[in-house]
Amino acid sequence: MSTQIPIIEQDKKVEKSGTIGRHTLRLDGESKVTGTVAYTDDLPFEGYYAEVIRSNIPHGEIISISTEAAEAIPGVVAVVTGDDLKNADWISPYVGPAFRDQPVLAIEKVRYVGEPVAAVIAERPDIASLAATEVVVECNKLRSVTDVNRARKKTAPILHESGDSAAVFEDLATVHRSEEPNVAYTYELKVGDIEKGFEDADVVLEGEYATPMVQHTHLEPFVTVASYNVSNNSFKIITGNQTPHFVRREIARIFDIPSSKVEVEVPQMGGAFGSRTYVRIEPLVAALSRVVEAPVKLRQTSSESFDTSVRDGTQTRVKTGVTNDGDVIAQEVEVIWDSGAYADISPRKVKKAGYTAPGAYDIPNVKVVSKSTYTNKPPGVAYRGFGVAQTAWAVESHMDDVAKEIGMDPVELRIRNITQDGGTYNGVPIEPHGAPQCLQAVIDEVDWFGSELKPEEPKRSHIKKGRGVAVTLKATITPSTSEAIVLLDCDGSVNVITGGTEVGQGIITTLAQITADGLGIGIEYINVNTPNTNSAPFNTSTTSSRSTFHLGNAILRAIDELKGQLIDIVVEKQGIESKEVTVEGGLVKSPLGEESIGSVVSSYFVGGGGTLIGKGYFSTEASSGDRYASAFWMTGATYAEVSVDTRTGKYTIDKWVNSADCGKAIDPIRCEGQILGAAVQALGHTMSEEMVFESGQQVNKSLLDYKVPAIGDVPKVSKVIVVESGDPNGPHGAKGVGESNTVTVPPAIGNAIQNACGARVTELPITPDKVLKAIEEGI
Amino acid sequence: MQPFKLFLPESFEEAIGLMKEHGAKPISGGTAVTTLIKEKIFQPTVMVNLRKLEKDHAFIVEEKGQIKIGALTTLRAIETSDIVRKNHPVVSDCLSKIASIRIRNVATIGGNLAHADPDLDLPPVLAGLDAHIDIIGEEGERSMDIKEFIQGYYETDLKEGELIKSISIPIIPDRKGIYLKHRALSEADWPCVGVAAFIDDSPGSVPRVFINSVADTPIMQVEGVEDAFSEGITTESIDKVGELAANQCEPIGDARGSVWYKRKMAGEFTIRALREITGVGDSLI
Amino acid sequence: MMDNYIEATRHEIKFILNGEECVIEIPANLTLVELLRQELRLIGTTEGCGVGVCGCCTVLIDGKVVASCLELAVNVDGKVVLTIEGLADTYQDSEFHPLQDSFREYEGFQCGYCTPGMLMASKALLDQNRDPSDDDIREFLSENICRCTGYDSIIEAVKSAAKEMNA
Repeated sequence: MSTQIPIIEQDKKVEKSGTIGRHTLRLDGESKVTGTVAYTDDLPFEGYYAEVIRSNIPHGEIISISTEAAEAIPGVVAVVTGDDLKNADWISPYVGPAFRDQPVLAIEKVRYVGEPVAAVIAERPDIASLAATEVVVECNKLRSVTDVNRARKKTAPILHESGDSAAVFEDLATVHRSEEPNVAYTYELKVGDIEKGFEDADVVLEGEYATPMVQHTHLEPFVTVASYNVSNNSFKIITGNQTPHFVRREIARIFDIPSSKVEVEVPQMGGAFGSRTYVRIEPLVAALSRVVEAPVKLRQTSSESFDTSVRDGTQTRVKTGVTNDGDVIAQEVEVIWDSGAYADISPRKVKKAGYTAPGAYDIPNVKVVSKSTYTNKPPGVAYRGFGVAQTAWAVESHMDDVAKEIGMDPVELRIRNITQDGGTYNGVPIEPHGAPQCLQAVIDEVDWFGSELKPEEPKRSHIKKGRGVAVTLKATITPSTSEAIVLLDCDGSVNVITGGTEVGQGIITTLAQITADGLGIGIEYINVNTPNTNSAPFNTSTTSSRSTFHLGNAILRAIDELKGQLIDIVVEKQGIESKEVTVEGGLVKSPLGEESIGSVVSSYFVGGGGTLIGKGYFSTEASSGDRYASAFWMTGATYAEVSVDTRTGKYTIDKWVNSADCGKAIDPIRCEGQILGAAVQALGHTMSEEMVFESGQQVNKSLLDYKVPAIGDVPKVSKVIVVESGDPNGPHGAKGVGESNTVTVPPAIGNAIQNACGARVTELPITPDKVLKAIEEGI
Repeated sequence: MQPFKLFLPESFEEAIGLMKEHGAKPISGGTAVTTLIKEKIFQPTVMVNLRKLEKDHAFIVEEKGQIKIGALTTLRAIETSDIVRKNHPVVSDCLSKIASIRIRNVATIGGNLAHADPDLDLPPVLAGLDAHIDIIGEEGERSMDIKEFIQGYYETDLKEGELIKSISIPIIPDRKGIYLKHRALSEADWPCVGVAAFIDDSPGSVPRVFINSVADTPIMQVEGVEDAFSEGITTESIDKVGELAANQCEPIGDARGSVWYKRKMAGEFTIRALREITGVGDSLI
Repeated sequence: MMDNYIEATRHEIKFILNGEECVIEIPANLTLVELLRQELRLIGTTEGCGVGVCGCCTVLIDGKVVASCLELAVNVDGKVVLTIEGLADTYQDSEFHPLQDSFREYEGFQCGYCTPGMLMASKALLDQNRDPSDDDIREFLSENICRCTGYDSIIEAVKSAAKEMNA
């Protein structure tokens, strides 16, 4: 049978298997350089606009919220408070991926400055904005606590009385609240005999290091549109979120409706970096839409991002036992996390980052204690590096201090102790990970052992030069699941449907490259969707640099299934053995000839068309305890060379080299972009970024005062090295590459500063103020 | 932004009348005011938009031994003006360090000075050049030295219903100046401290030093400089002036530096600026 | 009824937008980026920080870079405004401006949110400097924030476009 559908002549335009490992123009590139790409706020919208009223005290009991003045303003549709939700029979107003400790709007208590306490819904955004200033919140102030050490004292004010596991994720099913005051969760790891390790050591050194709360500062603020459909009690949510399937599940749960009644659509996002994980403003906007039974849009300002999600601060104590030969034989790490007022995903962060707190080193005796602590500050959430950036700041700074103490070159100390590919980590075998290769790549690039920095001329003796290195080993989210559907149309073109979201990392193009290669067709015939949970199969998250690995594997499985179907069709048609048939280069080949894949599909269906459907499920194994820690390992290293002005403490990074292991580069340019992008983000954490609090109030809550790296801050001499160690389980050997250098940059720069002028700054960010102080105090 | 009424006068007289009638504040380039409205720090119901005055009051002319700049002139226009660059390169240089070109293309000199933010870059430089602010009000016009004009924390000598009409900067060919902006967090940032130092190329001329970001106004003049230099300008006496600067300032600690650090930097950059303009000692920049 | 509730005054403005005359009545409290996005549905210009620091909303007014999030829309009366939607048309008869091609080639973007502003600022730079050095680019784009790329690919893209335009 034949149809009128034009079938793509595959073999004419195809770059056969040419899409893996080569630079491919991004499929969303044209829309992004022409401004036609749609973020949530760009979509046509008709409905009401919301604005949030926030707490201006860090801790208190809500006495009353007066809404009359706001409601009297023409154009105001409703003002919604926590009481309205608490008293409603249509919502369970608490959310959270680990504990359900966070109210959709503050209920009875406020726990941080900036916490949403009410929302105005109006016909126009400017009216909502005006009306929000007319809502008066009266509170009875409670004692607040913003310091993690004070928070854990018996006398401290308690933020949460109870907390049960949300029991959504296997790895968090057993988390339970710690007995210690305000400690949300404690993770402990013991390897070998720590006491004996310290006894056997020639030198034992201790150090304390800290990082402040910082914010992701994705340039697109939080925007969510929710439309409640009263006729069938369903929701449509359009939102910039990295975990649409979690949003669906959480919205369904709080409104007690089936998941299938919640449609979550995720357009392109203007950056995310972990900030848009689990639920942020989606439950609130859905609730507002439910109240007014109409579509509601909430577009927060960029300043309000600081009220919504931040990176936990940390205080870390490291104690290391080392032999005179430089063998690190014991290490104890205690990390206290400042997780803010709500736990969000902190229990997992405390576990995962706790597990790799000893850095990239194979140490026989290890003890880790890692505690997520509630304070009256904005909630700590996921952030690129997922806690390892904070723990590595401590341990990678400490390694240089240890090297100095025993008179050994810091790189030599690292090489001597680094966990080997196929070696052990925390006392158990570890899959190949590439950490030694990443370290080797940067030290080879700068000839570390064969070269020295040239000092400044005597006239400029106040400028001191130094160099430093850091290396990392980081886990990815495990266990997790990704699924993919590959639709082969009878014209030979392909739609790929997954729950993977485009945050800027280029996943659409990467998945298209993998699909094009898998079927041997040109990338121009492939469309990769942006997800909608009504059609997209489950995906745990677009986080933890997991997408290329997990979605790539799911797609490869879907393609295998698709190929099997193509072969079956030809086998049946031609009456031959299936082993005689192959699918390659967009063609189904048999001893009787070859046929394009589109034409095979076309020949199979009637009625003007047809679609062959391949599906692929990919799950990484469920975690049994802490031993199977990661589906793959992210590794990387940074070398930094600095000039320190010892009269001002100001430093410049004269040169840096960043390496990371991507297993196999599906697109080398995109890998380089991930590596440098991660590094520059961490440059901000190193040089400037800190949410500064006074009496629980953040005083630099805008990009005017909270400085992220500008183009003039970036080192002028830069080298990016894409290491390809080949992951045994990755698609084409590929794995995630987006986070390693957010981890390695701060300690590499800190170590370089210490090398230059002897100043060891132990608290990020390394401001000129702290450098000068350390110089003057001879630290 | 929440709703407000806006008037668009075409002359100073009309603007002053409208401000008086409605008790309204003026908006010029608006780069600062709009931010304050958006952040709900300032919630106006009526605003008088001076933008239409740019037709007559955005100018830079050289007259009677001074550079006269209309209040509606943008910072970028001044920065790139040949008249300014030729006579006072320190002004062009200082302007090039303010915010971004995007902001300097819109922000006006009148608005900038009336804002009187203690972190402003330009006032210490204008102070060192003895610039005058020409003010227009219902009662007529008056002129005053910028050092008297800026009076305190976001406070100027402008009375209700008064506006800055122009700025006059004397042309002083033998005056040499420098502005050093110390940024602590990012190359795109407000100053941690900014130091302007000036000296005249005449026998016995004593340098003057003005510092921003360390007091309640952007113009803190270091006092006692004459005494410190009474026995000549040496690296030792320059260090002494640095000490005076550090001791006299009253900074507020913030993310850009603690009180201790800002004091130190006020001193250090005083030393650096003085070394540059006097040629005494090795350059530290 | 509250005391400070007030309707914004409305103003008719006439300006040239991407080469075409535009006449529209707008409220006083509307910013230029809101005029473009909400009233005229030109969604290419994005709003980031909202306080003039990030550069996402950069457009050209009379050829000069301006933060459209801080500019009252009434102020473009009588002016010439160019946004990302009009960029390609400013360059010969090609479908894309060389900057648009080079940003794609070098991946001078990831999430794309800063890209329209970055492109408009780069265009203004190339209008006044046909052969910018790395330092020229760093100076001109000093406050155009990109959170994704690390900037090096943006510098390469601008230089490549300049080369293309000089060829």
